[in-house]
Formats: sequence, structure tokens, C-alpha cells
Amino acid sequence: MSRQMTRRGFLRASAASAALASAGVAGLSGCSSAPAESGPKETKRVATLCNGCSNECGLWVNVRDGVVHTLEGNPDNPKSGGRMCGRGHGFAQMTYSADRLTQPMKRMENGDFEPISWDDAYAEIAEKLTGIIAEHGPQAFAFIRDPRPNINFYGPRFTAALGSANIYTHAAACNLSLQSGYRHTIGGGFSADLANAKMVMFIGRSYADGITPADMKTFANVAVEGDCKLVIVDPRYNNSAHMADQWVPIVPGTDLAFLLAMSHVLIEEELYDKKFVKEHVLGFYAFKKEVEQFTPEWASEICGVDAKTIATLAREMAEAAPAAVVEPSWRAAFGCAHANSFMTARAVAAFNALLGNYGQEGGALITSSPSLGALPADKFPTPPAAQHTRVGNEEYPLAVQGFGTNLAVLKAALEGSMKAVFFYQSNAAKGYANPAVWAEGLANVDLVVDIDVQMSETAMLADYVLPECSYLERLEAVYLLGGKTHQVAIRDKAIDVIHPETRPADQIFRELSAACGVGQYFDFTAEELVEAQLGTIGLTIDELREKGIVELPTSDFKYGKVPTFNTPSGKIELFSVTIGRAGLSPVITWVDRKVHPQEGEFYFVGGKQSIQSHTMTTSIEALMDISKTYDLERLWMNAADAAALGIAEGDEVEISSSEYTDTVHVHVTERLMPGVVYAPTHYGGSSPYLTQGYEFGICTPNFVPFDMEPGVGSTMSQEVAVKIRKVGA
Amino acid sequence: MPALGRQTIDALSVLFARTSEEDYASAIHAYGEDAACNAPWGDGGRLQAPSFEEYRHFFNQVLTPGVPGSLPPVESLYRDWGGHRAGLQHGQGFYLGPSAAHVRQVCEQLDISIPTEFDAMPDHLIILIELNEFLCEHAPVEQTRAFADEHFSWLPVYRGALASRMAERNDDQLAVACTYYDAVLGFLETVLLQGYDAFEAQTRARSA
Repeated sequence: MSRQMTRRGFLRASAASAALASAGVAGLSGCSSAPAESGPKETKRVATLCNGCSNECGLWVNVRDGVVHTLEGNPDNPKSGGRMCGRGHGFAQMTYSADRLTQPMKRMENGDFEPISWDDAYAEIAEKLTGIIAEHGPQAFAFIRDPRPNINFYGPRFTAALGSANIYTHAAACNLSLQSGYRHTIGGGFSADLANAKMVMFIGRSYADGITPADMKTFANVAVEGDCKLVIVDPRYNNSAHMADQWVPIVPGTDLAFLLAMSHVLIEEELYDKKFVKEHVLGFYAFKKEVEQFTPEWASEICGVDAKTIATLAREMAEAAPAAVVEPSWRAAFGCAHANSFMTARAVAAFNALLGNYGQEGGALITSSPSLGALPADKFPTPPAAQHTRVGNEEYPLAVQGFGTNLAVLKAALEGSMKAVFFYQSNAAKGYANPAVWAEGLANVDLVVDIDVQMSETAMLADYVLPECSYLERLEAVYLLGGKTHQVAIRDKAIDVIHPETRPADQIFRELSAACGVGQYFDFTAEELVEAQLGTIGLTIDELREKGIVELPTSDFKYGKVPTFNTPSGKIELFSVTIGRAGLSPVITWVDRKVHPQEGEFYFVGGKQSIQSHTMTTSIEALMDISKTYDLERLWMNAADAAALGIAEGDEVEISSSEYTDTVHVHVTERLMPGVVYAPTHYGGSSPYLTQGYEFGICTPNFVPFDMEPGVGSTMSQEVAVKIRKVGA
Repeated sequence: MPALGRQTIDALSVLFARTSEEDYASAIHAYGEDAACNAPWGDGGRLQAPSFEEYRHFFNQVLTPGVPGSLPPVESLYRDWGGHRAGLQHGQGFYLGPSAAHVRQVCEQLDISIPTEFDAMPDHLIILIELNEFLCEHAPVEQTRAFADEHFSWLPVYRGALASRMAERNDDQLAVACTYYDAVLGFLETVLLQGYDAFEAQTRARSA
């Protein structure tokens, strides 16, 4: 029996409470020290996957008395290799942050957000969404997500359940061009066998700035051992260059010219792998004819790398082949950066083909991924396929189908045909394209819903914000890892949900889908889903919980075996009919970048820092402390350029483009080639909800005009020129 | 150690926990038709209680967790989080710090339950006030004194943060309610840390 202690009170005392109190309570002033003296009452270790970036490194969470105490890398996980990066440690702070969303929010007419109950939010969202679909069809509804394992299950399922094909990842602002280029040339992505290579060329990618712990360890080991030549091709002497053998500064957006000229050298000097090319390459002669014109001298004029260096690097790569590889890269240089990014990826794949390195030790590895069996149809019925073509597919047919281009949603919103957009942990409106254009587009949309842990800039544009609990508070769908070996890993619930009005995705989709009348596709818990998923591969959730990751016996990888190329011809396609039909050159060739700086203007490049992940981590105090302590928001500028403009270290400058003007402090350095300025891509937060990163530094997408790369629809994040002026000069 | 009294606790409950217009009016008017005049922090009638709309705006913008610029009255957020745990991280601005653990521990000892809506913040001001009131009524005075010293020492910091935040915001509606809340917090700070005599002395000094 309990009683409420005051008329409107919250605490409930039992019949014994008063007697207990009158007898005296031990430790009433012991707030700061008592638990340490008594020690934790309960400790446990729970397997999870980090959420500090999209690498999903395997971790163990050590929990004491229900509170996260420490995290450590799971040694059995190939991504963490038993280690954690700073982001991983810092990101756990999110769970306890004062900046977290703690209840559903609704935007009011005056623009302010106010709390709303889950039931009311579901009811209002469902009424609006089903009404939009009834009036405009399911093609007027789109779902954009950052592709993590859980939402890769729930997002497409929810979208399909409502009859829409409009499901997208973030890739248009990440690696869409690159992956699409590889998809249409070698059938999919590849990895560099760094540990066994004699020479590796990194174009725009820096393992030390966009860290995966195990990759970074391999990179460092290779650098220390010294029997592999590491080459960094980048306008910036990035943090990997410290450990590399050679830095090749290059004009942003001209890597394609560099690659074509290296291919020219291999073909002209007959240094390419003729047997490999004959057996596994389609369109070699068209490519050979095409690159005749792309001499090192021609390329040098465009990319700023001298012709002798281009030729020497090509020869060195051929000498080291097949244990030599141009590393596939990710976002920075040609993931989504320029009008020629798709073609640049194709040229990387082609150059590796000339080296004959596919499947070879030290070369380019195309490995497989494990898959799950079909889930029991009675419990997990599959929604019917959508009856319309995904928005953007017709205009951008070369985009990898699993990604799509989310910017087509923005375009449709601007045109008025997109009526409802859902986001899941996706800060699209801050990082995927010009934020002002996103704001304009989403203002045209009748219903914007965002599911997130924090009030991102995208959430601020939403009509409803549904708060998910943090990654440490939820069990998720299983995570499959491919590669030379196959594994399955788990993100388990390490601690109880902290804020009672936050919910895990499985619950949100179960309840929201029921409100929308399609609850039959989500009538299961996360636990039931994981059990069913694992059941299809003969595992139980308890086995996975015990180890965090379990190796699967199905990888067919073997060194020396040329992989199967998943292209229409089954070969590496240096000439592609599919690409020709999409309106691009069917043969790999030169495509210029779109924007060229004029007199007094600079190229503007961005890039990651190892302690931040896009904009997502700028709400984390521990990480922002590092950024603020070391002034990491500064704009990099070459010393000669700075001197010419009378700019000194730490000066405040005005940076302006056709789209935007802002001010920022400058870091004057020799680590950046002249004519280029660099800014980290994390900062310039504009959500006052996220106090740590608010108005710290500049937001790079603000400066970039909204545009989309032909064929794939990437954001072209570096197609911009900027002017720099010292403030007060 | 002074108890605040049921009427005051009820009024504080509606001020620091979301409430309906009816309950707000009823609690505030419990002090009489002109609520502010009679509330102990009402400064002898000079301080006007916020209207329900002003209260609602202030609650949504300032006391609601996760809202930009909000300052939820939760002890953990204004004290060092790491302390003895020496684990995940130190610093301020995090839920469920040592003070929260301590409140839970005390409530467990006393067989007192905290509603689930306060799972993330068992050291929310209103919970602390209620628990303190319970201790005042039932526990030895020195232990109650120790609890109050421990768990209300953050109030000056909180009032300072509130004042700074209001100075940053150009919002008249917020300012009206904030003046009232500051008086309430000032009352709590003085009474809970120094006693009623000190509060009355302060009141007399202001009047003079």
C-alpha cells in the first residue's frame, strides 16, 4: 500500500516509510562519495555497435548500477579490432546529454516546438499521411535515412507498407558517385588489400581523419614497416600524409585527369597486365583510343601535378602490380564532390584493371557479404512492391539502387510534388545540400516527420519530431559484415531507457504503422525480429549476446582468384552501354569540374576530422571541447595566399560564395596547396537546441549552390568558388 | 530544518511540473484570489503571478528538457557528472549523475517510489522538494539538514544560469514569468539552505 505524499505530489510513500525515516537514514549527505565507498552493486558487460559514425565498430559496454561506466573495443570485431576511436568514446556522452530530445515535439504555428503525447503525435501524423497518400498517391511520400542496420530494415518496410518506392539513403551527400561508378564498371565496391600491398595510392581519402580503428592500425603498421609505398593524392597534406611516403598535391576535382594520364602511361608504355585485360575487361580498345589524348603533360596543365611525377607514379604502380592498388576512397574527393565524380570512380576502377590487381594479394579485393534467410511469412509478412517508379530514378538512372538520390526528394519538394517526407537520424537539411534550399523545399511539404535522438537542423524544419532512445538503450536488427570473412554482430540494449518518453525504432514503427493502418507488417518486437533473423542462419540471440559477434562459415574469398564482376557483361566495363543510354560518355573519358575559380577566387574543399562525424557529433561536449581547445573550426589557407592578402594566423576573414557569406578564423599553413581553402565539414551548427556546436565555425554546404551530378544525382559538394577577405582590412 | 507546508508544495508542484490550466489556477489561487500577494515569495503583494499562458510559454521554453535554451531544474545537470565513477566522462550537463543515484538510493531505503516520468531525473527540483518535506516531517533534523545542504546547493548556480539565459533572450513573455520563478527559487534557496528567519530578514530588508 502506498500513498501520495502531497495533494499534487509525485512521490509515493509506503506505510513503512515514515517509520524508516524516523529511525534514521544512512548517507543522507553522501551524494558525492557514498557509491564509491560501497562499490557498485551490479555490473554487467553488454555487446553493442558504436554509433559515433557509420562504421558500426563492435564494442563492449561496461555498466555499473545501470549507468554506462566505460566502453571498449571488441577484439573479435574486424572494424574495431579491440580498439575505439575518440568519437566512439565521446559519443556515449550523448546518452546522458542535456541536449537530447526527451519527448515527442510538434511545431506550432508560431514556429515554436511544444511537447505532444505519443498517441496524439501518431494520430495526427497518420491522419495527415494517409490523407496525402489518398489524395496525391504514394509517390508523394518519401523516406530518407542514414543507412544503419536497424533502419535498413524498418525504413524500406514502412515506406513499402504505405505503397511508396521513395526510400533513400544519405549517399547523395556521401559516396553515391563513387559507388555508382564502381557499380557500373566492376559491378560493385572493392577494398584495398593494404596489409599485403607494395604500393597504395589514396586519392582524397585519409584513414587518420575518417577513422576505422582496425584500418588505421593496418595503415600505421604498413607505414612503420616501410616495405609498402604509401602515396597521398590530396590538395591538403592530411593527417595520413604524416605517415605516407609521398604527398601529391592536386587541384580539387581534377583527379580524373591524373588517373587518365596514369592510364595513358601504362597503355602507351605497355606496362598494363595484358592477360588480365584480355580476359576480364570489356571496352579496352575504346578506352585505349580515348586516353591517347590524355598525356601526363595534358593532365599536368589541369591537375597541377607535374607530368614527370604522373608518369613516375604510374610506372611505380605497374612495377609493384598486382600488389599495387588505387584505394577506393569514400566521400572526400569523388564520393559526391564534383560534376566528374562518377567518371573519376570509373577511372580508378579502370586503372586498377590495367594493373590486373583484382582478387590479387595486395590488390583490389571484391569480396562477398553474408545474407539472412527469408523471415517466417506469417509473423513477418512482406509488404507488396510499390506500383510506381521511385522519384529520381528516371532522371538519375545510374545511382546505385540501394541508395537512390535523396536530392530528388528535395527537387520534388521545391517543385511542389512531394507532400510528405520522413527522416530517420538524417541531418539532410544541414549536410546533404544547401541548407537554405532544404528549408525552402521542406516549407513546401505538407508533412515533415523526423525521428532522431537530438534536435538537429533537419528536425527543426519538421512538423513532428519523434524522439528515439539512444543506441545504448535499444536492441536493433542484426548487423552483417562482409569481406574476406563473414560475421554477424549485435547492437544490444546496454541500459534501460533513460527518458521514459523516448522509444526505440521498433516500437515507433510498430505504433506508427498501426496508426496508419499497416500495422500487420510490424507486429513484432525487436527481440522477436533478431531471434527470427538469427534463426535463418542457425544462431540464437543468446549466442550472439555472449560474444557480440559470431563468424559465419560462408565466405568464398581466396587470393589469386579473379572475382566475378557483377556487370551486364560479367567483365570490367570500360565501355558501358548502360551509361551511354543515361546520356553520359559510354567510354571512360575526361569530364571537367563544373565551377572554376576566377581571378581572386579559391577552390573550396571540405573534409573530416577524426574526432567528429559530420554534424552528428557536434552536440557532444567531450568532442567539442577538443574542437574548441584546438580551434579546429579554422579555415586552412596556404601561407603564400595568406601573405598576398595580408592575412596572418588566427585572423578573422570573410568567406563568400555566390550563395553565402560568413566569417571564420584562419589557419595559415604549408599543408595546403595554393589557390585552395579547406574547412572541416562538421561545424556551423544552427540548431540552438544543440548548444555545444551552435554557431561554432562555418557550415560548408551553405556556400555551395544546389545542383546535382548528371546521371547519379550527387550533391557536388565542392562545385563552388569562394572569395576571402580579411575582416577589417 | 523548516518544512515548506502542503500549500506551498502544491503550488511548487504546478510551477515545476507540467499542469493543466485548471490545476494551475486552482493551485495558485489556493493562496487567495490574488495569488501572488499571499504566496510566501510574493513580496507582500508586489509580485504578480504569471498568467497561465505566460506560465505555459515559460514551461515549454525553459523548463522542458530538450528544448533549445531550456534549463530543466534537475540537479545532475548542474553538478559534476563523473565524480567517483571515474568512468565514461566528467563535466556538467548530463542526466543521472551522482545526485540522481543518491536520491534513488534514499528513496529505496525509505520505500518511497518515484514515478516513471522522472526516471531520467529523480533529482528534479520538485522531487527533491517533496523528499525534503517528507524528511522534515519524519527524519531526524540533522539528517534532514544534511540532505538539504547536499541537494539544494546547486540552486544559486541554477538561478544564475536562468538569469544569464533570460538576458540572452529577448522575450517579454518569458521575462515576466522568469521574474516570478526567480522569486520562487530565491525563496527556496534561502529557506532550504538558511531557514525561514533568513528569508524573512531578506524580505524585511527589501521592504525597508
